Amino acid sequence: MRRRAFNALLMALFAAPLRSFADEVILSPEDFVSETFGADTPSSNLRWLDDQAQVALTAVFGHRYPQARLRYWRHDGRTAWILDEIGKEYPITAGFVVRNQLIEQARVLIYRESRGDQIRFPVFLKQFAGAQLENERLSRKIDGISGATLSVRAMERMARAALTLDRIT
Amino acid sequence: MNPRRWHRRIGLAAALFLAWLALTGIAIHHAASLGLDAMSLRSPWLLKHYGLYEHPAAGFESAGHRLIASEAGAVLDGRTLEPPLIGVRGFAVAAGMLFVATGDGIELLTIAGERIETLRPPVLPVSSVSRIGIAGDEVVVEGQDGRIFASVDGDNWAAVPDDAATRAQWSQPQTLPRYEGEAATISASQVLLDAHSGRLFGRLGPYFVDIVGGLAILLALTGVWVWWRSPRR
Repeated sequence: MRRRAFNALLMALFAAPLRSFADEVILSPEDFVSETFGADTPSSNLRWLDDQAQVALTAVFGHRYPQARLRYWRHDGRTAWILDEIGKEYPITAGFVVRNQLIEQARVLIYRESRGDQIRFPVFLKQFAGAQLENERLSRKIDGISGATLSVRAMERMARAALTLDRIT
Repeated sequence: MNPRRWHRRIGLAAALFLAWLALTGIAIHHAASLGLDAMSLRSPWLLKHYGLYEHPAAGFESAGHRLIASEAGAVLDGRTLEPPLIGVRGFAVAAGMLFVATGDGIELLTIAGERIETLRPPVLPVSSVSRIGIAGDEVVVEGQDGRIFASVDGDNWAAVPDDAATRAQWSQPQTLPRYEGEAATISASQVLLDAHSGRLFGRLGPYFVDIVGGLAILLALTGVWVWWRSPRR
């Protein structure tokens, strides 16, 4: 009887579903840019990450940004940036719109982790609206999400990076 | 039903595996201070397990450059690319740059393997590259919908006729001959993460870790049960 119960328990544990690590495209980068600028979508510009830029980004990320250049869009006083930063194991792709050195909009574009994707929801993202840099930190306190701490911090770093890049570009 | 006996049985069954999880978990937690995040491993067993061969079995070759791809990352001309490139589908060399097609778009690299940029829509006219090749001095890509585009520099893409597919030299995986001095590595952090999650031990590894997690829960519950039934309480 006891052995049967133990065996049944083992079988139940074996039936646990395997986690999926597939990329989830929440909003394509193309749609992010077209939603931001609508009919006035400009051509992209290139920002080469020279020493000045890499020093500034290293202060934000704790490491050099692993690219030689970044593409951004600028129109009517607004800039749009698409950045990547690792949350826990895989990069999160996010888009940020900056106007007058304030975050106008933050969006999660591609999420690759197995959990923590609560950061995609508007209730979290709206915290970034109106944030600016104060002493190189965000002026707004971003509330954490249980089980998504690393993803939240990655989004904060990318927001600071977008503001920094807007300032030095 | 004797809770003490169950607690003992479960404890004995899970002890070794719980110790393994605890040790790997502590190492992951302190990877930076232990230098594990900067350490690379070259054990032949590990390299073979991750598909990174000392003498590569399959990869891509273009304009004298060779790219070996596996689940753990890619090796270009004997150098492990950092950050890792996953899901490589081919590459082409044009305008002094390497265009590497992945599931994420196209990674633009210098000849030395340094990342220049990740090309995605709207710059890249296809959302997913099914294959990449070279036609003259232009890079050509084919999307999942069969449309073909070409570019000289990766910045400006133009649609090309369908028959361009016959003129392009498409990047195909192939068996590559021995490359002297080529050496692949795998990061210690990656191995540690895979050891902790069970992925290092194959497809059933994560299931097994789930079972050990379940046993840990049972251990906690039976422990409380033993305490609850203890006469001294």
